[in-house]
Amino acid sequence: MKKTDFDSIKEKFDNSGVNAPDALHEDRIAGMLPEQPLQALPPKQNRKKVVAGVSAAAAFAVVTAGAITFTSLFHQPFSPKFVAGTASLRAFGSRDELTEEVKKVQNIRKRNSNNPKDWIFGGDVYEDNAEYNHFDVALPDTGSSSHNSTYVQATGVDEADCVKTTAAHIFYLHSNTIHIFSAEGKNAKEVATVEGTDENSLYDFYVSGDRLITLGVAYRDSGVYTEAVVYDISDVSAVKRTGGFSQSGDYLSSRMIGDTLYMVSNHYAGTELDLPQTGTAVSTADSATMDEIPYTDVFSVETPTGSNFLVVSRVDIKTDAQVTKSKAILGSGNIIYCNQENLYVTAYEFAPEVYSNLFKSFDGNYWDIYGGETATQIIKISLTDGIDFVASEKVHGMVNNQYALDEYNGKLRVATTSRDSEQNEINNLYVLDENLRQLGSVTGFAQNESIKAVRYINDTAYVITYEQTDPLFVIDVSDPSQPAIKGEVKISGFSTLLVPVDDNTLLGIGYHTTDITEGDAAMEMQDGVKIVTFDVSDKSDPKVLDTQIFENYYSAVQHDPKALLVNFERGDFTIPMSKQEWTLDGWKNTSEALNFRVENGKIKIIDRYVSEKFSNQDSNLQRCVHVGDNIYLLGTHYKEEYRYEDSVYNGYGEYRADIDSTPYK
Amino acid sequence: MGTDMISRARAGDKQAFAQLYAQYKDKLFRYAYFKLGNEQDAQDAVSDCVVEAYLGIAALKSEKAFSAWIFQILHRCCCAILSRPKDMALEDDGSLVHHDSHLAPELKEALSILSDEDRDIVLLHVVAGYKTREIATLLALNHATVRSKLSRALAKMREFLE
Repeated sequence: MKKTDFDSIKEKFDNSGVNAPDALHEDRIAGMLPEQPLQALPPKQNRKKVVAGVSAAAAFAVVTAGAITFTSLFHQPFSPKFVAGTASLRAFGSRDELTEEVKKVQNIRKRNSNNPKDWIFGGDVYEDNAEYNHFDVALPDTGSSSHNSTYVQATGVDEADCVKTTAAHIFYLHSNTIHIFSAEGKNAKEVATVEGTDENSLYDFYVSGDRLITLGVAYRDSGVYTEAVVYDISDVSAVKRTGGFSQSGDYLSSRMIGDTLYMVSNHYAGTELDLPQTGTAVSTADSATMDEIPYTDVFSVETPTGSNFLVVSRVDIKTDAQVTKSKAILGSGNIIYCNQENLYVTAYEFAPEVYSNLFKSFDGNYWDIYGGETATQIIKISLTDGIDFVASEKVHGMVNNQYALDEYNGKLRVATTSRDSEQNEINNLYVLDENLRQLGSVTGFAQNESIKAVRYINDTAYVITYEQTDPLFVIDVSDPSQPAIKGEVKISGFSTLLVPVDDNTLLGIGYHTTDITEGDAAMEMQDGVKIVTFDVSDKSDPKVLDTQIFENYYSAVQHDPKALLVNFERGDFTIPMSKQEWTLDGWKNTSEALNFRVENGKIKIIDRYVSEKFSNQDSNLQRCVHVGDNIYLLGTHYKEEYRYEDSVYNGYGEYRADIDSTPYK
Repeated sequence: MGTDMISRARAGDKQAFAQLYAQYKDKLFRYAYFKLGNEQDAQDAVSDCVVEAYLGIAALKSEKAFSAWIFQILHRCCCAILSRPKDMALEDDGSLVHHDSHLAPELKEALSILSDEDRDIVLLHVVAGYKTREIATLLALNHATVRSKLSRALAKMREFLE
């Protein structure tokens, strides 16, 4: 058999004779070690997984959350002045009072920045991004009959994405450029582009009527700003900028309700004078002034844990961002959930002992906080009359993604994963009233498992937890003071997205897993896409109806619900799916659009369109959308040319956006 | 050797930790040597890495993960050494490693035709044993990019070495 490049090179390394010198002999090493390792937390019982999902999420949160501080342990909050009609929120009597407070809660991050340890435990190399907490998750909007809308969480509330459609065009954001394709079936082609600037990197965008609204982050004037830029796309061959708006801070998320855009950013105040600003200055236009948000529009949660402001703006798109309103609150955000009336922002918070452990531990390492008690702070903002901060409250544990929150009849339901006194993972569901006061809860279920997906349908919560099997829990929340687990069913693998199909059927999309055992150690491999249907007609006895497994495939929908295409007219679903295989000829890639419907609980595959275009080894299929009778596939290819110059190979290459299509079968 | 080696190491048993380390010491040194290009720096990187790993052993959940975990720490220690001011960098005097073969200098040369990133990808995959998806996460790159860079880099190296 022909030796692969890998085998040949590996053999050379193995035989290179480069081995550890005597100075690195284990006996000498043992003599170099410090007296004791850092204190470990009590080990989890029956722990088999290599990396705990929530631990990884916690590490991620430490690196990203702007709220980490030790100073909160020592500082006394200023005298409370509760905002009229609000719970646990404070207003400021003057700008001085505000800056004084910011000074008190100055973030410890300053001390810790540039610590190389910041990044190493920030990622989780063992799992397939399933735990990634920052992504914007979303419930289906109706969409027009001719083309789809982004799969969103709450009816009537649009969510920004990397792809949007109109009746005639498909807009796809890749590499800081929005590519506009004509929706002409096999003849679909790029007809225009809208580009971000060097200073402004585009994150996602909306299309609303004849306006395109891009959201991005700009680094200018030594600050970080979240920018919305509005374009007139009535003639795609002559797209023009019609307005813009920016606010201090790093882009967290956004929503659009009708013609109103809501932007949420995290502004970290480096000094007490670095208060949040807003203005019409955007990096694609000549500079304009930025104004500080007046202290009368700035609030604080009861006990802020850092000098981070959550900045919220409403921007009127009808007037091309001429009419805006912004407010800020001393607090921070990781995940947002928004319906037509209220916006909820959650932020992770670690218990004081976690901060002190971190403080005491070697050079600010993060390992001591693995598994520490965490809380989620929830800030409620009413949108019915401008922007009004209503209340803030904390619940135990951490939220998986935006689908873990849902408001029904004025009550907020929140599902979290936390740890009990013995550091075992446990799961909880809380019901909170209009002012976020707790009405009832179910706590401590699914020990040693963590939440992977949640869906609320009216008075019922469906919760997927996971350790080695994937139980679906059905929780009745019709009595807010006494939510109760009604039933559960177990299945291998786990779903990361639950979609209601009809009153009795739930569709789950997620990961197929395989256990690998070697000696005493066991680990799971996520090695495929799994689609499952559940019969939930009897809440006390949910059943698995059908399962389809696509081994070795992966799909963007496994970690981003927006990658689900729902065609409401046809009543079917489409997901992008790919697999890669290493063969003697190199990498072989297969990408396809999987079109299926759920019929009487069975998963019926209508079509598996394998795209030639996205099947070369460097392609990456990201989304499927539909316009008219065609499914369109959006993704990228890597184009590279490399040549031998001055005895050195120089590679030049870039990813390029592309489109493919197939008619619905 | 069971998973209790980790429990023992966690409880402060240095010999248990040293035994775990012993299984990987050659690979660790090889990785650092080819990443840093000289033996003194490689030795420093492995020493730093071992101390950090021992201190942080609580973060390790299973012996199965030991390899990936310790290489992650080593990768970071190497990066820290590379970011030192240049005048502190040492020339390779070749005194610490007794090469029995001509392969080491050839491999160094073959690696030198690669970009820094390609070299990291090759070393992480071939010497440290990471999967391409893990490398993508570690280096914050697209998975497809890592795969294509890897196959090209390996082809280039092979061509160079033949």
